[in-house]
Amino acid sequence: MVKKGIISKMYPLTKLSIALTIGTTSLIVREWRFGYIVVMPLMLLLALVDRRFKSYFKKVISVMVIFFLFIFLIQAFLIPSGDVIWEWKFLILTVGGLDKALTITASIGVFLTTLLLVFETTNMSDLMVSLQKTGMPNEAAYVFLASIQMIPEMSKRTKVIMQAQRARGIETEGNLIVRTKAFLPTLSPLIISSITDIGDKAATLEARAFSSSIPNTFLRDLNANFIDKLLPVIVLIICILYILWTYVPAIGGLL
Amino acid sequence: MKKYFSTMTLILIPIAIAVNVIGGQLASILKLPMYLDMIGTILVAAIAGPIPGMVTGAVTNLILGISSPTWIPYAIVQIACGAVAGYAALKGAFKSWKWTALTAVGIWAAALLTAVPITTILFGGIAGGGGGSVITAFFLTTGQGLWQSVTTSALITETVDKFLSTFIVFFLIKSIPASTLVKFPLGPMYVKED
Repeated sequence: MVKKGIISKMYPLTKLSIALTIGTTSLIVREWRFGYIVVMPLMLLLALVDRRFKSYFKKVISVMVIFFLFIFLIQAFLIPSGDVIWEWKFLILTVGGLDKALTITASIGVFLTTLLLVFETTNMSDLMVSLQKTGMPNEAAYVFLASIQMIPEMSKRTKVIMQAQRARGIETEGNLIVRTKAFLPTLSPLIISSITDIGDKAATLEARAFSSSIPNTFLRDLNANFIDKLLPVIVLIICILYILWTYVPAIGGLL
Repeated sequence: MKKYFSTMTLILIPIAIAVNVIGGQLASILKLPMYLDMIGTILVAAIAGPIPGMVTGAVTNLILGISSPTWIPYAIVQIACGAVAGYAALKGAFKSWKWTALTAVGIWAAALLTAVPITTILFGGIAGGGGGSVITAFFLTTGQGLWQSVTTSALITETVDKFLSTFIVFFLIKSIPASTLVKFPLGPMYVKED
């Protein structure tokens, strides 16, 4: 077994609450330096410490690049405000536009990098167990985990159905109308067959006391230690102080 | 909790979530200029009611959010559409094609009213997936404002999408075997007695 890094070992809810605290802070302060200079490099560093840098970085890049390019194109170049920095045909880079683009991308970037790090380092079953311990109904955990399992399974079946329908002469290439017509014969057999299976699945679950009202026991044993409980509080206090520092003029805010 | 979610409904929801995700994937495999990521939500709303429909929509986007968190805010769009479809279904809207069409208008309006502000305010004009963004950028270069551009681009991508999704559900309900259909909360409504 691969040894777990320190972020991976952290209690799932601790990670999630810290990520959401930092994300909300970045939305409130609307300051691009917080995202670009503090949070994003910090998350990359934490991923490096956790020895998951490669796959984490790949995910961040694949989500961010096109998205950010478009935001910069639209906000910085196509909506002029303030002094012009650079100009080419219909693209006009302005001070106000650049500032707006940086602010928007910074907040999104903070949410993206923190949440992706949480999901990268957390086993979903562990997250569900920790949520159930705080009172989330076990039906909710079932819905979440079953969905995650169901998607690749049904995706595989879709490919089989698509090949079968192609063999029967349904065209999946051609103009827009032809391609739209291929959609239904692929998706509907998948849906109908999955729905007719539900009765059996319900019987299986009931045989294992799914609807029982007795408190659950867990196969996975997870407990938050002292640091896991303390850390979110520390992060919350730092974030509140930072927000106050930006918004209260008496201590140097609203520069 | 138990009032809204029978075991049958609870098993239906993960399947519907997978249908949402796969509908979206299939739409992109077939290179359709649509999302088609709401068929599961509308289906659950139609046969199990508004609350399960809204849950299906919300969890779909949370799960998509695991790999790309930009989907998470759009959960609100799914919730709104699930609610509209669900309350319409309670009134029996999916029994006739005329009322289905009217429901589609409602879902379409709910999607526009929620998606456009999210795209404009939160993401500065870029739709979560990025597909409609090319169209938005195009309208911006013609000198339209940001809200106007995002709305026009959403009109183009959402209109056919929502009508097609709603009618796919209308036909799906007709093809689900009656023996399965009656086990869902709103199912008996669609089964003809003869």
